[in-house]
Amino acid sequence: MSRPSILPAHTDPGSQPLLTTPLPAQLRLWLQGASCCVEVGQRVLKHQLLAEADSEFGVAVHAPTSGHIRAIGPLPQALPDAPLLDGLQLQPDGLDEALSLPAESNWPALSALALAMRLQDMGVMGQHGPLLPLAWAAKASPLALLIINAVENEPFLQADSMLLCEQAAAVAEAMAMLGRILQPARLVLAIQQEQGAAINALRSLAADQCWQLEVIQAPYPAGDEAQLLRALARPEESGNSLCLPVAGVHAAGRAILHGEPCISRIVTVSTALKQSHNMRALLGSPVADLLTCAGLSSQQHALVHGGGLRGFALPDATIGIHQHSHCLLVRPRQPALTAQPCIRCGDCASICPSQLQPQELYWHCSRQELAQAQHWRLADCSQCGLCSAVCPSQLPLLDSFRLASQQLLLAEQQQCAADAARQRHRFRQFRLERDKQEKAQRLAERAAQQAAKLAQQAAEPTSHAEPTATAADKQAAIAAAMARAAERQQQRPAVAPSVNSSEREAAIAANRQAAIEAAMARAAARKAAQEAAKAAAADAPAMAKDEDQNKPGLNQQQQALIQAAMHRANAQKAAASSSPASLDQDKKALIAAAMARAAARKAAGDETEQDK
Amino acid sequence: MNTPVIRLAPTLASRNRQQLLALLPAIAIQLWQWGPPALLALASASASALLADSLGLAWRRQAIWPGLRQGEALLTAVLLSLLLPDAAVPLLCLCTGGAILLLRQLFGGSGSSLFHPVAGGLLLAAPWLPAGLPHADIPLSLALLAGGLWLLWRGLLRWQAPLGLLLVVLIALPVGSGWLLGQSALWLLAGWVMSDGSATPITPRGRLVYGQAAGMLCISFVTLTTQPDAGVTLAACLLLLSASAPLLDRLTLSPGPRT
Repeated sequence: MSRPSILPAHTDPGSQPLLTTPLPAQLRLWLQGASCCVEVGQRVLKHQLLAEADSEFGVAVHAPTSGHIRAIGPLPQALPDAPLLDGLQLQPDGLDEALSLPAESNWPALSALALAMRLQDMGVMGQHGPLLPLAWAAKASPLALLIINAVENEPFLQADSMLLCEQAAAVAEAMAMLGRILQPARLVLAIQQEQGAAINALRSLAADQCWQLEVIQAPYPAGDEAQLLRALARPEESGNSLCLPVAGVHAAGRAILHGEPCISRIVTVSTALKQSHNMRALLGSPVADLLTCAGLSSQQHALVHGGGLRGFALPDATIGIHQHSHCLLVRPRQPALTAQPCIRCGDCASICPSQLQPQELYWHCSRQELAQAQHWRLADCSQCGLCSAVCPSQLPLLDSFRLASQQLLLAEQQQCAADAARQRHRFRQFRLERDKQEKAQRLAERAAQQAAKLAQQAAEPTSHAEPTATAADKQAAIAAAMARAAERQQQRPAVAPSVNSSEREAAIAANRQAAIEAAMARAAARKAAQEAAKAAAADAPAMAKDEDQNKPGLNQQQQALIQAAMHRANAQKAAASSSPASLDQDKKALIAAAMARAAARKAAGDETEQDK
Repeated sequence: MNTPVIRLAPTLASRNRQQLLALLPAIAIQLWQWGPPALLALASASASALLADSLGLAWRRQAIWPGLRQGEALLTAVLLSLLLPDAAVPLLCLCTGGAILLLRQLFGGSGSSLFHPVAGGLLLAAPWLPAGLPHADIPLSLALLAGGLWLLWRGLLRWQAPLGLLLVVLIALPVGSGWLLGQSALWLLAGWVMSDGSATPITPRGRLVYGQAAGMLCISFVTLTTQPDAGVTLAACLLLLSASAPLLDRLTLSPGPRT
């Protein structure tokens, strides 16, 4: 039971012409990662910007035709069990009035990042989000291998073959453009052997181009990025290579070379009777319109969105097509299957291209044991759907893997958001504490300066000693009160619960030190005030005598205070410059504080001696 | 629930139908050998199996018709009536129904039964079987072999365990295991019981080990003791080794290398 022989072979679109769908009565566009910039009731022209990308992963949305915006709000998505997504409804007015398109003449001057952003603004989508991932483009690392993926990955898909047959020259142009801007060492267009018509269309063009045509011959999930890279990338290239879908590359060519935003795509509508129609449809066209165009009615059939293995049932035919709608399968309605228990036949494990054990994965996924599912390599599942297709018990293996992956992704996003919030909170706490410390320091310095000034004033022999002394008294008291207030303010955040890390320890240490210093400043101020009062009480000759004795003491005190302030400033600067303070810096700050304290104590000791 | 557009393998019901189809030549030969009583035995065993299965399903509060439609009960009945051609009809009915109730429904239905009901049913009937050396039944054996090869060609036979058994039997030919190859019970158990997934390990390596262990146990019992019936001995060995299937799974099953 080998894979290539049991899958229905790819059928070429052949002589079937590319249809164009008539203008639908209503267009439904989704705004994924984009914020709307039009209003309800507004008339818009073709190619007009309707929504611009608001995140790294969103793309802009443009009006596929002229008309009026009828509603903006949540719309059902095509994915099963997916929540409603914001979207807008556009009612075409049939005039198809277009904006004039400014073509970019100096595109060779664009950088990779500028190109990526331009493509995002033009609404060109790749596998996930914008065609060129912005994070990748911002890194601007040299590209070793650029793969343009034109492999029809699933049975019934024909859209890429059709595009290559119809627009081979435009695709070649777009590839040359990408090659010129991104400068990859090797540019490869990957195509499957069965796509004969597309290969013929490209062969004649590939002769004197900067890219080469790689015809690959591999079983089913060969069009997946990982498999393509494994098949085409040399070992040294696999690290920095990029894989882009050919439809996106074609749209990129239109956008950059002709200034035309991406507003349509080719969709294959296929029935079980091997009939298929390829049509170019405007984005947002309801599925029912495409069926009508193919001569089918949506009432009598069950609809599947996607290819033969990965497709999922569409609940109703009013859903609009989007950039990933390669294919619509129309099948006769069938009664719902009843899944039988697993009989442990092991077929899923033997067919799995990623060498997983789908039966174990299914067991854990269906019981919501996501940790165990990760242990059984849920992350490596490419969701190719082969296990579901071979399961004799018709278990919904692919559905359960898809659901579990969605849940894991959601959990991961929530975790990321929580981490970011925690980081923000930590930084805010750190900032607040730093600000408080700085404020306290400023206050303490000012208090010390004022005290020193007062002491000096008091020490000078003046005729009006009494009023000066009382003023000095008051000012010293004010300074002391301010220092106390600063201290109290500082003590509060230390009590509040904060994050436990080295940061917190550093903050506590700095806090304590600041408190001690504030206390010291207070003591010094009080002493200075006492001194001033004493000096004022003494008489003039005694004062003159005192002056000789007191001056050196006061100077000493002043010096100690200044020294302490300088040390403190140094310590705080060190703490501020490196927020997660290393232990060494912490230690240094503590030592400096201890030195300052010792100096102050010495000064105080001198004082008391002199007082005696 | 989404139904995949493309089915790459037959469904469970179709698998069981094809397994029954592969038994048709053997049934024809048995009818030719034993005459109308064999037909009666087959019909009553089938009725008993269907009754027991629906009883079990009703007791487990499962939908009866979708369960019966899978055809596992019918397959069990046909296999047991082929294995016990000379048993009395009531005994056959009793052990068929008993095996299905005890070994399949009591364990939670098909897929979760650790011990294969056919091997269990054979063991249940063993004490009442007529003693005496069973004769080699070459035509029946050949019919079963042909059916097995057809299943293999259809891709419906998990061949690792039967291959392990046959390898051991062939290697042990000098010890005197050649007469086993003429026993229809050996082919039946190898092709239709050992290829069943729920009573054997799930990995190819585990199945190979399982088949080899069953072969070695069976041959050593047959040559070292005086037990003459190869079918019953092999069934007992299979039941014994089915208990080790979870262990073999644990030893051989791994998530694989992370990429």
